Parts: sequence; C-alpha cells; structure tokens
Amino acid sequence: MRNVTLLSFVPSLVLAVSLSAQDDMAAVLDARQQAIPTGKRVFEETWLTPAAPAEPTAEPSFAGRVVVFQDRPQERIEIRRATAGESENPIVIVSDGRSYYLVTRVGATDLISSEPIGDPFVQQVLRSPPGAVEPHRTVNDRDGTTTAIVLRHARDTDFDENDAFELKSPQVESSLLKKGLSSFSAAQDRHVAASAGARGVDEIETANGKVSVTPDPAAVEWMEDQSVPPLEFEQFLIEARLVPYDNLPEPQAEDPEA
Amino acid sequence: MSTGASRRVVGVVVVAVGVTAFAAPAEAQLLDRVKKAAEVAQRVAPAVISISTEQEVEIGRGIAATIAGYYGLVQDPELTRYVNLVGMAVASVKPRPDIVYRFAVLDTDAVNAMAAPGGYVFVTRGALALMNDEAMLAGVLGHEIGHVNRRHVVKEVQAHARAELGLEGIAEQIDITGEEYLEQTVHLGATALFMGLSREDELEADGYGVEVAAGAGYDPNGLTRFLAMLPNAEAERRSLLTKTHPDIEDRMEEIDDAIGDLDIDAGTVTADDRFQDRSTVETPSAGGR
Repeated sequence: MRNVTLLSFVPSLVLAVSLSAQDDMAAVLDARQQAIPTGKRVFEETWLTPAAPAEPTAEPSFAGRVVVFQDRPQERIEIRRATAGESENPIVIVSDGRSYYLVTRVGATDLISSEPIGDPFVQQVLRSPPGAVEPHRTVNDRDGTTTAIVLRHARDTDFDENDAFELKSPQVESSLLKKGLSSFSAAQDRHVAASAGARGVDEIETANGKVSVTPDPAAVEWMEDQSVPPLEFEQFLIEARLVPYDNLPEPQAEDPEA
Repeated sequence: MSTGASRRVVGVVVVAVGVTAFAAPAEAQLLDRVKKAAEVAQRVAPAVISISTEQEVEIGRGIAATIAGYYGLVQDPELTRYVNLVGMAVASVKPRPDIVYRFAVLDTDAVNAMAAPGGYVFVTRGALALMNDEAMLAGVLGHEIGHVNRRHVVKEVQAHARAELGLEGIAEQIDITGEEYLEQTVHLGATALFMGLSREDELEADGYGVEVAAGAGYDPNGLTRFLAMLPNAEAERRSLLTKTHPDIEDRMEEIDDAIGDLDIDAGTVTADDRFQDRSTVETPSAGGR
C-alpha cells in the first residue's frame, strides 16, 4: 500500500518540478526579450566545453555554435550543438517581439511548451546575455565551476528581416540559415553531388606544349571520399587559435616543477 | 555578338521605333528596314552560354581527372586530411554554399597549385616542399579558392565555348555538359588552366587569397613569403607556374597593396610546427612531371 502511494506521488512531483522549470524559463525569456539592444545586430557564438580540471594543459572541446540575428524587439536564434562527434540538426528560435517560438519544418510552436526548452544547452544559450558582452567569457554553475567557454564575434548585419523573423518554417535551405551555420564547417554543405563518373581528356595544351594525358577519374573519386568530420575541423582551428578561436586563451603550460 | 553589342542593337531598335512614329513615309520605310535588320541581328545574337553549378561541378570533375592523370595524386590519407583542414579553414571565410571544396596533393616535384571549377583544389608535392609553414599553404590555397569562387575557368569556358565548339551564330542555349559537348568543354577548361588564366584573374586570386587567409587568422604574408621562395626551386620545376602566372615581383607588389587594404585585423598564425609535423609526404614518387 505504501509503495502505491509513493508511485502515485512521483509523477506529481515530476510534473511540479517540470512546471517550475517552465516558469523559470518563461522568466528567462521575458528578461531576454527586454534586454535585446536597439539596432540591427548579428553575432556568432562558439561554445566550448572546458578541459577537465585534472588536465589543465588540454584544449577545450567544441560544443556548438549559435548565431543570433536581432532587430529589437525581434530576435532569431539558431543553435547547432555537437554531440558524439557529430553536429545535430539546428534548433531555430524566433521571437516576434511578444513571445519566443520554436520554428519547425511544419510551422511554429510556443517555445516554452516545446521539447527543446528542457535541453540544458538550449537553456544555457537562452540565459546568456543578448546584449554586448566580452568577446571571451565563461559560464559557471552554482558551485563556481566553469561549464562553458563562449567566444563571440560580430557578423555582417546585411540580413533580410522578413526571412530572419519568419515564423512559418525554419528555412533550413535558405541562404540566411546557411549563412549562419556555414561557419560550422565548410564540409557540411553537400548540395551538389556529381552523379556520373569524372571524364577527363587525353590530350591538353599547356604553356610547355601539347601533352598526352591518361585521365584518372578514380583519383577524383578518392579525393571526394576524403571527408573531414566537423568536430575534427573545429579542434584543428582551436589548436592553432584560428578564427573564431583567436581570442581563446592558451591552455596553462605544464609546470616543470610539478 | 557580345551582350554589350546586343544591348546596342536593342538601343537602335528602340530609337528607330520612337522616330518612326514622327518620320516622313520614305524615312519611315528606311527606319522600318533598320528596325527589322536589328531584330534579325538580335535573334541570331548568341547569348553567353549559361553554366549552372551542377554543370560547373561536372566540368570541374573532368578537369580534375585530367590534372590527376597528368601529375598523379598522392593518395596519402593523413597528408590529404591536413591539406583539407587548412583549405577548409580558408574556404570557410567566404564559402560558396553551393559547392563542396576538396583538396589534394599532386605527386610531382614541380612547384604549382591548380583549381578546377566546382571546388577541386590541388597543390603539388614540390610546392609543399618549398613551404616552411601553414600560413604559406593557406595563402596558396586561398589563391586557388579565389579562382574557384570567382569562377575564372568557367568564365574562360563561357568566353570561348561557342567558337571552340563550332557554335558561332547559334543563339540557343545548349547543354554544355551534354554527351555531345562535355569532352570538348573539359578540354577547353583544362587548356585554359594549363595555358594560364589572364593576368587580371591571377592578380584578383592573389588578393582573394590574402583576404581569406587573413580572415581565417593566418599571417597574410604567407603567400608573399611563398612567392619569395620560388627562385629557390630549380627553374625546370617552376617553369609551368612562371609561364602561367604574372611576374613574381609584380604579384608581390600587388599582394602588399592587398594586405594594406585589408579591413580586418589580420591574423598572425603561421603554425610552423604543425606544418612541419603534418606536411611530409610519406612515400614520394620519383619526380613526376
């Protein structure tokens, strides 16, 4: 009997916690809406997971990329997170100045009652300041432990407001979204795939004269097979502090005395 | 007939029609004849052959197969991966969203780099051997990406296709990558590449290379430093490069101007150690073309 009572209590507890989290996020979104600065702005944030405290010399790892388009009171937030070595499909959130919506392929739904609002990464992004911040910042949890490193870069503001704040579809194939997300990895966009074999020619004229050639279509196919996973690309950029990691501090040098 | 000439013909027609309304009968007949002649000229004026992205990739694959056949390809996955990573870093500064960039190393001591339409970019083993750091490679790949993004070879094909394919006087659009024309089109593009693009295109690609390498965070002087190394290579090994590109000193001068014009904070990354670690060809062939 006691077990039955407990079991019936657990769902109520989960529901209460869930509603409380929803209220919390509703307040976060209200505050965010109020804090959007005036003027047309676009910025890109690269989110990194810091190396474990036990490994101070290790590099942080790429966690995701966020592109924000603003024209107060409207805002569009594109979130692409990386998990398990791959990039996930983008989450597109748009505010019309009154409410925030999750924009899907079939339409828009109230963000606060959608599934992604429960995602801790999405929550972190929404809690981050929509106005001016330092180009490099850290996000700490309640214990003061750094949970994320965020690098922000301003981007060109030449976007189309009608496209950006459209609530009907995420426009995944639109130039706007591609523009926002293309910096995740050039290898992401594979819109044109050749269907037939490569056909070369067996004689060419060069600045050194006419020469015979045996074209090598198999070499082209080999070349096309050499893809680079997006996260490896990000780590490559991090390692050399290439853009957008140019303002990321170097990891602490190992103490030779230690 | 060029597009500009076509516009002039249309202009004559417009003027002729306008004047006819107020002219005497004999003059009106003359103007009518002018108008009809202009209309005929307009009908047969061949428009520039359009080349879609899909066609560009098709042509590019053919040219890439020709380049790979001419020099041979270093099929070393680790080296190719490294060149792809540097190339992607540079290409993603100003990417063309409609194509996939692919990078590979040509198996030759000759010092050169080439790009086929549609994103097929090559650098030779000889060029890599002459470089000291990643910023040099970034500058060279940036130059080649400039050719791809500005569609320099595609424009050469468009400029000469009707004459080369025996289509002069034919106004209709044709499928330049169709069964009938593909081989000739690829030949035309490959020849443009191996004979050399225009001086303007090369200098434009230099400026583009500097801009995207700097935008990626690399030292923008990488391309200039590479050009300064060229005299160190045996004359025979750089002969095709020097014959198909403007004079090195002219290029360096233009590149310095481009660096001065950069409206971004240029990067400083050279990544020397990484380049030394990862750019080695494990099993080079003996020479190559």
